[in-house]
Order: sequence, then structure tokens, then C-alpha cells
Amino acid sequence: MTLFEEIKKLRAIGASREYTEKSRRLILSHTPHAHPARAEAFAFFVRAVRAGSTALVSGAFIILLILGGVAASRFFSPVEFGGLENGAIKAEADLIDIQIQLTELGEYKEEALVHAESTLRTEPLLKPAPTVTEQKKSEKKPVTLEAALDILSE
Amino acid sequence: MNKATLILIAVLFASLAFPLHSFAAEIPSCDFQEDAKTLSAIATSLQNEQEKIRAELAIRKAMLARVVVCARGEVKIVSDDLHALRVQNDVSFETFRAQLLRNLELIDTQYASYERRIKDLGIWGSKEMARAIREDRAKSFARAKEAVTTFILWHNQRDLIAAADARLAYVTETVRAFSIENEEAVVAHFEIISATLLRAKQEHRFLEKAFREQYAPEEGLLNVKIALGAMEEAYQEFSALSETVKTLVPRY
Repeated sequence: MTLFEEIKKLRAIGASREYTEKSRRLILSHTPHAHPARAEAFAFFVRAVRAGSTALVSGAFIILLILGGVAASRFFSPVEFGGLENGAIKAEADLIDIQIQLTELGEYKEEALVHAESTLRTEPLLKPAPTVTEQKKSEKKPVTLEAALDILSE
Repeated sequence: MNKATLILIAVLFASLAFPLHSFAAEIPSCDFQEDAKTLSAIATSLQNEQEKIRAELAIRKAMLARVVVCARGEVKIVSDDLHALRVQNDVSFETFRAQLLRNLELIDTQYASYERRIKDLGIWGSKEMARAIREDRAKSFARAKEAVTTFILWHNQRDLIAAADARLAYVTETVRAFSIENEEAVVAHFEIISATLLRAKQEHRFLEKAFREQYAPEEGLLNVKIALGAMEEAYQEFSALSETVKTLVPRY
């Protein structure tokens, strides 16, 4: 028998019908088991690490951007003189000026008593220019309470 | 936000908390020009002596009545301002405020008594009453009003002094951070600021002591003025210091 014939014979070799049936039944009756808990935890861990590392890299990138921005703004903005900003100094100085004006209003003066208004009140610092009617009114000098008392005393 | 800014905001809030009532709407006009004209016209417009006297008396009484209403209105305004003041949590200052308010009440009671007597007055009596009211206003009301003004402005000053102190501390840190605290010009500015703030505090403490002892010094408003003047000077110096620092500190 030549080698060729031997090989042809081997081709015809197969499982017995009984073995095949048995094996098929076995395979079909097998239900796949759920992943064991340990394997699932591991998978979850891997997924978490992946997601975490992505977030970490993105976060680091954003922080770098912010820090870079701050550094750039500091570089381009004027020097900060803590406590010596003109605006803040002026605002506090203005408050003092208002109080100084109030001391003058608190003194006993006849003019302050012409109209019954609070003596402890400030006049607006920036007054609009008087209108023609207002000018006429101011030309008409009022008789104050003190002046009225003087007249009544005579 | 630094401490000075916070204090500044607090002061601003305190100022805004001050009532801005309009008392003018509640009382008649306190300009007596028309009454004065009418009174002087009586002498020429009427021939009959009896009529003259009756007319003069009527206008005098009307004027006096309005004078008293206006005077009481002023007392109320000063009282309202004092009521509205948020006195710091200190019994002695609360007691002093109550004393000032009582004093204003007495003045108002006196005016009310004048008001009741007007209807029974003759011409001579109306002249007497006008003189009495004038004296009362010059003595009692003027003094009470000045005491109230002094107390309120002294009270407001506490916040201003605290703001100035906070600013001085902040500026000192800044100057140290730039390592220019020993620069001659900077030292000179600091000396002036410290001296002026010290003067302001001395005046403030003098008044504080008086108020704790339940009295308003006669020249109290002058103490307030000196303190505020000193603080104004301190702020001019802060401003000058700001300019000096800018020239001394190079850009980053």
C-alpha cells in the first residue's frame, strides 16, 4: 500500500455515530455560567482605571490651561499694589468728606432752619445747574424761623 | 476681598441705613415771608386803630402758631435721626442716647406749652413769647442738636477709623512685600499717616470717655472735626504713598 492510499484511508476516519450523538447532547445541554464575582470586580476595576485616567489627563490639561492663563494675565496686567489702589483710597476719603460736611450742618445756624429738613443729612455732592425758575426762587430770600421770631419780638 | 474693603462696605451700609425721611410733607412751610409782608402792611393799609390792633394780633398769633409747629418739627427730625442710629451694643452709649432723647422730649414739651398759650395772648404777650422761644432755641435746642450731631458723627467715626487702620495694615504688608519699607520717601509717608491717625484716635477717645460718663462736651463737635480733618490728611498721604510706591516698584 502506498503512502497515498494510506492517507486516503485516514480521510475516511470519523467519530462513531454514538459518540457524536453523546457529544452533541452534552454540548447542547451545557448552559454558560455567569462570570464569577471576582472576574467581574476585576473588569469593573479595569474600566474604572481607564475612565479615571482619562479624567485625570483631561483635568491636568484644564489645570494647565488655567494656570497658564493666570500666569499670562499677571504678566500682561499692571502690578497690584495691595491697599494702595486709588479708587479704594478715594472712596474712603469721600466718606470722610461727607462726615465733615455733616459736622457743618450740625452746627446751630439760622440758614439750616429755613426748611424743616434733617440737619444731619448730606446735600448731593454733584448738583445739577439751577434752572431759571430755581434761580428766581433763590433770589426771593425766605424769612427764616429765627427771622420770624425777630419780627414778632419787635 | 480685603478687610478694608469689607469695612468700607459695612460703613456704606451703615450710611444707607440712615433714614431719609421727608418731614417737609408733614409740616407747613417754614418760610415766613408772606406773614412778614402782611404784618408790615397792616400799619399802612388800615386806618382804624382798633382794626389795626385786631389784625396785627391775628397775624401775630398765626405766625407764632406756625413758628411753634416748625420748631417742633425740627425737634422731631433730630429725635428721628437719633432713634435711627444703630448704637453699638454698649449700655453706656444706649443710656446716653436715651438721655439725649429725653432732653429733646423736654424741649418739645416746652414748645407744646407755648402752643397752648398762644390763643390767650395779647400783642405784648405775643412779643414776650417770641422772645422766649428765640432764647429757648438759641440755648436748649441749639445745644441739644449739637450734642446729637456730635454723638452720631462720633459713632460713625468708629467705622472710618477701623477702615483707616485696616488700610494701614494692608499697605504695610504690601510695602514689605516689595521690600521698600525702608525707603526714605515711604518712611516719611508712613510717619505722617501714623501721626494723623493717632490724632484722630485721641479725639475719638476723648469723646468716647465723655459719652461713657454721660455728657456731651461743649466743644464736642470741634473734636469730631479735628478727628475727621486728621483722617482726611491721612488719606491724602495714603494717596501720595500710592504714587511713591508706583515709582519705586518695577514691573514684574
